[in-house]
Amino acid sequence: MLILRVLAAGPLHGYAIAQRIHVLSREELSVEEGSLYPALQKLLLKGWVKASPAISETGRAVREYKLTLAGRKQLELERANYRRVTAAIGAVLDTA
Amino acid sequence: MSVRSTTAEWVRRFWYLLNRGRLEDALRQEMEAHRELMGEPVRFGNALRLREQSSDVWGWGWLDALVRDVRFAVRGLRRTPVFTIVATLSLALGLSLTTSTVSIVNAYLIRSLPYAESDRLYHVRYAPPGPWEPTGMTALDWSSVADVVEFPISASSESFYVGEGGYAQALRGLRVTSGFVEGLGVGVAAGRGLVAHDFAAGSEPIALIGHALWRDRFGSDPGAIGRLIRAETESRPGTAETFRIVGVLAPGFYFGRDRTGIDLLVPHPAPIRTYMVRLREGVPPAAAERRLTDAARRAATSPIPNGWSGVQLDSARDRWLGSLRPVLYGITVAVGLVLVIVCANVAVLMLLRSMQRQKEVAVRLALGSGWRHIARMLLTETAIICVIACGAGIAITAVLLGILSPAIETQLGRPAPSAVGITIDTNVATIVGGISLLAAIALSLIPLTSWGRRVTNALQQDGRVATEGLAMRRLRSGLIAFEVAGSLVLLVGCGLMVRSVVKMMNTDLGFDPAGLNASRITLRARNYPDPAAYRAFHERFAARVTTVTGSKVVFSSWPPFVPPPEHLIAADAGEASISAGTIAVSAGYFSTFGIAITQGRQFTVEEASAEAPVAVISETLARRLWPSGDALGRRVRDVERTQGGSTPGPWRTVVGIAADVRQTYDDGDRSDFYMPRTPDGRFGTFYLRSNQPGPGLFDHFQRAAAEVDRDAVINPPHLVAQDDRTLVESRFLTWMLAGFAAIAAFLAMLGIYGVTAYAVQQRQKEVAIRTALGASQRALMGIFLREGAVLLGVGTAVGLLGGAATSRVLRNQVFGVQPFDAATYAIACALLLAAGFLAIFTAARGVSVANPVKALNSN
Repeated sequence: MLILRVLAAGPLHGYAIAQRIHVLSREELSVEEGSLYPALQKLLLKGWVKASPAISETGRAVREYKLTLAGRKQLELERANYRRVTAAIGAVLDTA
Repeated sequence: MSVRSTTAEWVRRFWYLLNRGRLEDALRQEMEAHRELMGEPVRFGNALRLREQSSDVWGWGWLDALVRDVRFAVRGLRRTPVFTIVATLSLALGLSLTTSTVSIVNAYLIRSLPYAESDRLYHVRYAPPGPWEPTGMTALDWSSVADVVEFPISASSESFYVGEGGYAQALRGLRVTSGFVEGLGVGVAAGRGLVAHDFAAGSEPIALIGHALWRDRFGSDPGAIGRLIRAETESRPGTAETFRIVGVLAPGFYFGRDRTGIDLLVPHPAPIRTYMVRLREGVPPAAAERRLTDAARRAATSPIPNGWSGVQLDSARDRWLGSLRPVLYGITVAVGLVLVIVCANVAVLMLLRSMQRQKEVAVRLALGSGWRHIARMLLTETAIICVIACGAGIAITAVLLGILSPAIETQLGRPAPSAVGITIDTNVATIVGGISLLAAIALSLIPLTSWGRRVTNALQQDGRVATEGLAMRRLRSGLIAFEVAGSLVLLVGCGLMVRSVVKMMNTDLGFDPAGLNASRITLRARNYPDPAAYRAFHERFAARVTTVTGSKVVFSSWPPFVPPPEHLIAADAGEASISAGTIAVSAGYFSTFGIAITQGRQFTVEEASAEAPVAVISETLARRLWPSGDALGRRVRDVERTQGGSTPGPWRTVVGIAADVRQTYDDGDRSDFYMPRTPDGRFGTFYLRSNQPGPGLFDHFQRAAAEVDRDAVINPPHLVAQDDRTLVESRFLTWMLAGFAAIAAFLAMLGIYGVTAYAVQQRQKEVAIRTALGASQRALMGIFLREGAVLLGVGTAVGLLGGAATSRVLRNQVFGVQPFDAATYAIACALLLAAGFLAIFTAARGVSVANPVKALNSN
């Protein structure tokens, strides 16, 4: 979901996505950066992102990932789900 | 998830599969670039693992594993080429035999008759075989039985003559009612079929032409549809009918007992006497018989005699298959046994091979591969062998069937139902594929049972090949013993059939069918004003043919090998009448057929011409009518049962007594009554004893007939011996069983030889020790012979039990031989034991150790 949100702003290649998540989460989230790639493959399979060839800052050939229309819909869906679940958890925590 | 998104996902998956190399490369480059850009590359993770995870997302992991397994299996098989080749060839042979048998069974039993819903088709018999039938059956009210009968299938044959002068052609025609079309499902190859409108009174006369006619007369021209055809019919000579051709029948369409095909199919609006029906679904034939009997009684226009058995329904399929069904079952069981024996042999080979792989498997297990993986590897190997064997088997069979199919059809006496003949179609391929799969699974499980827990011990032993455990030896011995048993069963079955056939061939039928040819004449009514004219034709025709071929031509009203109609025969002294088969024959019948005249004489030509009041009776009939005295010169008459009572024939003087004739091998009633007659109607069947081949004879017949009457139609002659279905089918079954038994026995002997030779090789150390201790070669051979004898003994014992079961199954096929015939069993056992001992002896002969010390020291 985070990848989808990050890509909502515009197409990025792998390293840039990892950087953006790292920065936006105020350096809270840090996992294996490579685990990004299996997740990206899943998004490609589902058709929520599209990949196109690009050149990185160092001149290496990489792929740029772009959010598709279906991806945007999926992002909204997951956002709504997350908010609902969080609200429910919050309700339980606050009252109990 | 919606259907659309699922489909889109699958499309993306396939696209990934096709572009895999490129995409995986791009991913690798990407990940490398990412690592370069990172400050702490360690945080990236294990690149290989991540790449594999990414690849797995697309769901083709199983395909990779399969390809890997196949590659590995092929490598493994190539390492043991002898095993691979022998196993594949054996399985190919077994599967080829299986495919042939399945094709034959499929063509005759499964595919069945070429009509729709053929299991609901029944032949209608209004009376037992013979000339009498209730009259008025044409007016039977089918609507009253419409709840049990779906369609009355009525057809009447008609001869059509097309063309004038030189190119006159006689066409086999069929006039049909609407029930025919719907009941049988007449398929058309071009144009249209018959519709309800065609049967309405006053509609344009139309016709469907046969496929062969379309091809031969119209050159398969689609423009033939719509043309008019003018034909003269036999029933209305002198007037011609014009039909418009609206369609062409599907190839291979036939109707009736002689499957020669139909040339012209014409709708007939008026009711015809119906001899075939299609019952409604779920209606038992007995119930339908009762209803039809009632309807027949209501419709009969003349009184029905007492003792009428009512209307009988015979299943169309059963009547067509006849006695073929048990023969087909027999062959199926036999081929199943052969296939199992082939598989047992291959299983033994696999066991031997698995011995050599114990160490390899132990190492793999130690490295952490689970049993499931090992099993998968085995299954892959076996599957590859089975797939190749299956493909080879089917290919061989396809070629064989292409060559042998007509011969098989002749042997079985009836062509395969649909025009396609005996071929390999989807049914056959599916069945054989399924069998191969089962074989593959079963065979792959065999080595697994032998490995088990002891495998890990194999690592602790020296030497390349580990010694085998008791369980493995038992399994191997069990398989071989089973092969011996199976071979014995087939040998017993074959032996019984052989003796049965020999008995049949030695049975004195009372006449001699060898060299006897039969053929039919059909004449045109318009050329013959009265019966005398017909008789004149037949006499002149017979004389001509006799001059040309040198053999006498005789006529008979009833063919051999079919029980003739029964008439009541009354004697002059007033004793009770006896039922006897009655045939009308021409002069010289008895000598041509080889029936001995024990007293008196045959009919003369004059008697046959004039239908003189004389008769020849069989010995049994003579004994029964006049037990005490002499039958010659006494008077008898036959009483024919017709509608409205019985018509007694004229009093006849007995002029000759003939030997008893059996029409079938178990013909109980040998009373026969012969009357003299030269055929005096349109149809006649004649017989001729000659060694000339069929086409030559046919030529003579046609020329002789043309000299007397140009319009006469002669059928091609066939050998009467072919009508002896019981003998021909039994011989066919015997040959098949003999072939299968030979193959099975050979495989079993090969198996015994192989195992004994292997045992000799395995126990070299033991042999070396014994030699060193002073044992002679004969004593050593004795060891192996004893062990082999135990195997043979057990196998034979089990085989005898199986043979007893076979005998019960073959009970109906066997003639003149007791199913538990001691001689057959003894001979079969002796043959098998002799061959078995020969195999063991040959293998054990290799036991001799030149240098026992060297053998003991080596690994």
